[in-house]
Amino acid sequence: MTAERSDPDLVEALAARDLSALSALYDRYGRVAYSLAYRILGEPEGAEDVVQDAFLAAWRGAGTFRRERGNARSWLLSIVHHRAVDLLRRKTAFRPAPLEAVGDRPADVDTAEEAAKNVEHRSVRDALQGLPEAQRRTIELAYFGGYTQSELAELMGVPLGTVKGRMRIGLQKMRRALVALR
Amino acid sequence: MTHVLDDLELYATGALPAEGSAAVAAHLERCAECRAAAAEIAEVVSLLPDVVPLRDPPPALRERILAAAAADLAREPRRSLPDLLRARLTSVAMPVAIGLVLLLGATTAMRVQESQAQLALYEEQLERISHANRSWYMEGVEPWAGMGGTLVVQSNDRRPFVLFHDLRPLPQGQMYAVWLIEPDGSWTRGTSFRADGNKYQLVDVGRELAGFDQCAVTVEASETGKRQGPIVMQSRIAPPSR
Ligand SMILES: [Zn+2]
Repeated sequence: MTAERSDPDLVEALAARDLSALSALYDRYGRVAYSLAYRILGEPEGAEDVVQDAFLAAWRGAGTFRRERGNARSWLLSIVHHRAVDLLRRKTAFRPAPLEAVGDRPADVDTAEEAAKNVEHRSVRDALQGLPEAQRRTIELAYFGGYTQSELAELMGVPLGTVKGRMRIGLQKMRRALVALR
Repeated sequence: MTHVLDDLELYATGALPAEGSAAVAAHLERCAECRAAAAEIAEVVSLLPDVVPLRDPPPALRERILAAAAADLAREPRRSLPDLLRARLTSVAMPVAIGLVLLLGATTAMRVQESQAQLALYEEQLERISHANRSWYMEGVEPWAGMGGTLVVQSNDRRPFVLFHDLRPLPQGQMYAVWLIEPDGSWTRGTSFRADGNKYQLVDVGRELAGFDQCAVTVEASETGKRQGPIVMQSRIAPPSR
């Protein structure tokens, strides 16, 4: 057995077409990637497609990964996020988007107990939960719900400037909360 | 230049429509100020997946992804020719050499970490190239058995290289040296290098073969100077006549 390879090593090996690097990255981040895609799409088939597309995109585009733009995990998850939201928007191009339905996405149900298993995850969750309702929902609807800025404004019945402001302040607060924990 | 600071949160959370998102991305490419701000926001946003309840993907998903990636590898050799090596390996050995070169990638001090499929293809290509009468295999001598290298050169090519396999890493301060030996027994160093830890490693000899009739690899403590260390592998060579 060789020692566990670091993320940067794995991404470098990925660019060098090392298949074992891809399997190592999948074993490391496949689960959170799938969970994120599932959370956004609310169903398993789409989530699988998204994860497959995302890892293959990483495999094919590893040469363009730039370390200063973030770590391997956030790189992979941003690909997953992007593709999941894309797929969601294509599937729901004319969705009515009733506000009350949004919170009922299946993954919301067990979020608290599941995520609480991991202290690090809980701190992120606490930071999010600690936000005023309007800020938290704006962030969640955008990131997990795939709503665009104009949809957010309409959905929440506020001007675009308010959407931006809530998101900005919410993310700043989260950042401070998380930095304080380190 | 109009900054995009106002849109960075929307951008990071994916809430900008496609055009807006592309415009922000383009701006970030050339604006360090906005890029720094975007990185801070992206850092927080990148933690959001942590709040999601974890679910196990079906095991078949892993297999599908790896199979698709392996299929990519099998297709790749026919896609893009690394110009550098295309230039150095033209002529009779072309079909064979192309296969080898493509397996190796584009740079000269290249690293090859093959999948099993690549590995098999490599062995096959190496077998064929070794029949091309323009390559010579050097086998590791005790206690270096198991390592080896194929010296490859073409009649119209002045840049021979060695494709090594299984080179062992050396202790700090030591390195491998490739030597060319004249019929009168004088040694000339071609190059010095360190094992990069990969199974295969391609090293430029750094010298034409004309005038030499043997090639050898030794372990040395210095990048220059006369040969002092032990011989790791060696072969008689018959360079193309000029
Ligand atoms: Zn700017």
